[in-house]
Amino acid sequence: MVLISSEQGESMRVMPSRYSGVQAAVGADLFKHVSGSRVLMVGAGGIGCELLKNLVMSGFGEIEVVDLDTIDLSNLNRQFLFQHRHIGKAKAHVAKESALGFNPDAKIKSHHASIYEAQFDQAWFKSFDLVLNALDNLAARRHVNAMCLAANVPLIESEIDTVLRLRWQTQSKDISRLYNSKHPKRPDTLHRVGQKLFVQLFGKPEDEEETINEEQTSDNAKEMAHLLHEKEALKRLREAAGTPEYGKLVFEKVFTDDVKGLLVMEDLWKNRRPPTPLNFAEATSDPSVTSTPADELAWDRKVWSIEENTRVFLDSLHELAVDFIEQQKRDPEFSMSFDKDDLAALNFVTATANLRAEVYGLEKKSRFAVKEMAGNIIPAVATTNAIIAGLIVMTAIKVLAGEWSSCKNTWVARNINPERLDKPNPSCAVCTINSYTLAINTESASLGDLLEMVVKGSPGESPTSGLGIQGEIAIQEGERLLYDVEFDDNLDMSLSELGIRHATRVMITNENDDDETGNSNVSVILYIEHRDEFGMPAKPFFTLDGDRTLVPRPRAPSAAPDPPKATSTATNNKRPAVLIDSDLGGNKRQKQENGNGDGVMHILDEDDTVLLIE
Amino acid sequence: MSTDQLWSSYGIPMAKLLWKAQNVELEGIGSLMVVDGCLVEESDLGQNFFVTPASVGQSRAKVVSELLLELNAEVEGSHVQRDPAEIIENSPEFFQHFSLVIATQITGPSLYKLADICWAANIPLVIVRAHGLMGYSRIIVREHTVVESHPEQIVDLRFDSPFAALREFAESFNLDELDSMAHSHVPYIVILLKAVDSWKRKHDGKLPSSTADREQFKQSIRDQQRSDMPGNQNFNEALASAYRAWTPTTIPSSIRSILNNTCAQNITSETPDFWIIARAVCDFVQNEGQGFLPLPGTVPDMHADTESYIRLQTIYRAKAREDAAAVSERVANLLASIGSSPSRIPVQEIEMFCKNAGYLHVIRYRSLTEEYATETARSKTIGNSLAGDPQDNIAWYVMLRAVEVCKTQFQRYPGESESHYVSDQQTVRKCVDAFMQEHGLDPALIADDYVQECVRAAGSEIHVIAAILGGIVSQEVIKLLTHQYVPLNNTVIFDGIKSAASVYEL
Repeated sequence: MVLISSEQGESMRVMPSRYSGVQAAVGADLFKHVSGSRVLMVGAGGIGCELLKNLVMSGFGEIEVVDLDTIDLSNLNRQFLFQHRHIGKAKAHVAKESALGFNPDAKIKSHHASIYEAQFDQAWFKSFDLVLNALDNLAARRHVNAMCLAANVPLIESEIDTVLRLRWQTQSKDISRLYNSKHPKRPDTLHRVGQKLFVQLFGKPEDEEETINEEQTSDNAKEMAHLLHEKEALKRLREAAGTPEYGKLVFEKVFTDDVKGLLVMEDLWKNRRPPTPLNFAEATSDPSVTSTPADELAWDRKVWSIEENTRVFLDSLHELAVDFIEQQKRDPEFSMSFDKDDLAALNFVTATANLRAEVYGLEKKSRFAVKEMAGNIIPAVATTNAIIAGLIVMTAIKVLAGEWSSCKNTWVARNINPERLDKPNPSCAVCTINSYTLAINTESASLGDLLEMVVKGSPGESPTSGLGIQGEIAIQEGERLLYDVEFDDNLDMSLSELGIRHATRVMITNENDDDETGNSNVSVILYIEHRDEFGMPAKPFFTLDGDRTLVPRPRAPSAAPDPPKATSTATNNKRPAVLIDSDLGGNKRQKQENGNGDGVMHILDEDDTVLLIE
Repeated sequence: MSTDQLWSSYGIPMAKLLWKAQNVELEGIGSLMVVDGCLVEESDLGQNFFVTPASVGQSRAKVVSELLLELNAEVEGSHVQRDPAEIIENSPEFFQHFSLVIATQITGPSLYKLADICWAANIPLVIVRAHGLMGYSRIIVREHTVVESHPEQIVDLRFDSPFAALREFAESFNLDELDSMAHSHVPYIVILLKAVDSWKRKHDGKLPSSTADREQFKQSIRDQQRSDMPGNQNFNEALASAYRAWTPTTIPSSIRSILNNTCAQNITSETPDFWIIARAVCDFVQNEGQGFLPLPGTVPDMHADTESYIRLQTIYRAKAREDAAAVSERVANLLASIGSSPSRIPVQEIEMFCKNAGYLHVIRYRSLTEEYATETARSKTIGNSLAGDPQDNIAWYVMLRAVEVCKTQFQRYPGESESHYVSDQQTVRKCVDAFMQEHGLDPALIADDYVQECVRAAGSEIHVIAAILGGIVSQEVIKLLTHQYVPLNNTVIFDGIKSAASVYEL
């Protein structure tokens, strides 16, 4: 509806509609684009909540939301779509329901699922006009980035680093292919793991039964069963408080059994170092270790050994549990909240963080350092989320308008500073990967067929022509090697027998020793699309989309190992990004952020935002 | 934090108000009040996510304040269903109870009057306006003091003027006699203290000042490295921090002017705590401080053996405590002299002040009257910004001033009435020209594009801009209320087309 108002006084004025403001501001034509668009939002955490609200308020047509997380007490202070009664429920679903309350006309589809799942294949990504990342973890961002590059769908990336440092970034294949060369650093968030466990053991118990039953109907019964199992385990732990085995039980649950559980999920460890479960007997083998040293000041600054951390963990846990039980006798509703100035709580958080660090092979911290980190958390992130989510939508509108030249990388530090989009980086290891969707019958086609017909087959105009790759070819799925010149055992196996199914990504790399042939080295990812009917009479054996011109892989800079791996190449190309703060407040500040992403951190940081101020 | 806030909204939309209110809600404001005279209209639904179709026709202030509280049950909220303009006109005393007032979309005479009321009562006022794809906010406070400005790092190590305990500690090291292991763990602070001391002995007590001096000074440090262990981390740290050693420990002029300010020099029973402590620090500097500020007592991380590091930490901390105790005593005497109890200012507050003494901020904002009166207006700021870049965000400021004149004249935003679309453009252009001429500026500096964009936007307040502005403003509000970090001084303009914000002192 268009804004119509007359000068015949208030009574004659036609009531302006819900969207009259945004229509006036962006213009009716562009608003049509906006309201006709299909947008994917990945992540429904801090930025996601703000973003979804902005999208429905601004009249975006169709929105799909994907998030694997459930709502946690610690989310409520800034993820305003969630309330206490939603704890334990799926973020994606609750976000959708809350956002519909703001605009019942919005079309939202929610997926309580991992973005890595096969259902989110290339065809699905291609169905969107625009993808908005509101993710906290690097691995998922890289995945979405790769999927968007392959599907040629513009991606707007955003990141919260600290309260004072946020940025979002626009990217499309045509404009900038640099995202992965400039990926962000995760600040150290280990202490939050400790705080989280503290809340689980001594905080307010969540209302498990009710929330879980409501979710039983969801497609993710398995997920829910796991969740229920987790909560049961936690409940048993809480009940064991005060018994002599309590310390051992908690220790083994958190640092041994849970870690073993994670190890089973092999997919998680394809591209990163797997965690090492701790052994309780070993960690407590030295009886002389004490948690009450003579010199408190030195102890405070020292990085404790594993045995010392274990001792501190057990002693502080005992101390807290005794206090907790005592208090609960008086008040059954009693719960503790973490206070960095409470020595037992700080000891507990420090030891937990360090033991976790040991499991994941990360650097351990002194109690002093943990206190500094835990104590500096300031609750100002809701405001920065609001700014960032607003900027994302402004950019989304520009992208839909096709105004690429006015899209900017924007840094929110002490001011809001736009930067020109980066030019495509010819030596970026991620965007020089050639992506194709390969439609094939994975039941009947063998790896040898794929190698001979698809990979080596002579290139041409037809969708059934091959890629014409020569030299020493290697085929990988993730880090799993399927074929190379010295390993041809799998060639006769069908793709499905090798675990290559619909939505699997297969990586092809080659090595040409002889440069004079003019053939350069390339990296290709094939996104597999399974077709039952292919390979039958009168049907093609396979089809490949797109033309056969392959972008060469950059000449390996010294740091880049060969061949590049499907999802973790970015570390090879990191480039420090310099952020210069504004004149706000008068003091110039220069900050170096070097892209030193640690693929492990996201598992430690189950929460989505980091509230550190240096 | 126990705080009363007044959220005052006016005119058609108020998405921004809400958005801001929501942000502040989540971050722990004690109590707030929403003032709004309007009923919820259909068009509010697209701007204000708090109101649903079911709220159409209800009091906007009521709907909003109720839903705000859902976000944080610990906040006390209330609402008043009265037109802010009417309250400003008839009940100026209404505003006296609040620790901060936020005025959204209030323009013209009501705004000027509100600014006068707040100025007289010494209440911080934050003005917020959104217009199409542009946002504006202005902070007005007579005086805002900040102790905890959260600088990147607090470093005050006294290389050039070590206090007795520090000097003795440095002297206890004899670098030549240490074995290689111990030599490679001497804290860089000690290396530098020794280097400065020996330099001063050879140069009549002067610090290295010329480039050649400084290079020579660094060379003297390099020369002490052991040939069997070159490139030791502690020596590298010493070289990297050498500039700190040749920079004399002084009091920055901005801090000097705070300490010597008349507010600190003339203490009465009305004097705020900040100025009493400032006076005590000033006296401290002139007496037992021997010309230096109280020592912060923090020691940066460094390569060293644990024992010497802890010794160093203890030495700096002890001196910091001693300084803070001396300042505390002066504060107590000052309080006694004005008949206040010594418990009025807690020791922690004094310690915090001493630790941050080198990073204090006092902002005296310009009043709205000063900004609007042609004689005192910052015409040069506007002119220079536009001359530097005709698309500078300051152009939007000129546009807002022009729109404000039109709004006051016609009681509607230019562009709101389609039948007046063309004449509105002419009117706005005239207002722009008049503003520029009054300020001695060339009207041609503002392109017609700005006029068109302004009229096209028709005073619309869109949700996204409101959300961004709300985020910015709530951060500033938190800074103002907590006296932590340095709030902006005094105007921020955000251009949604460019995705850029600029700050001006107007």
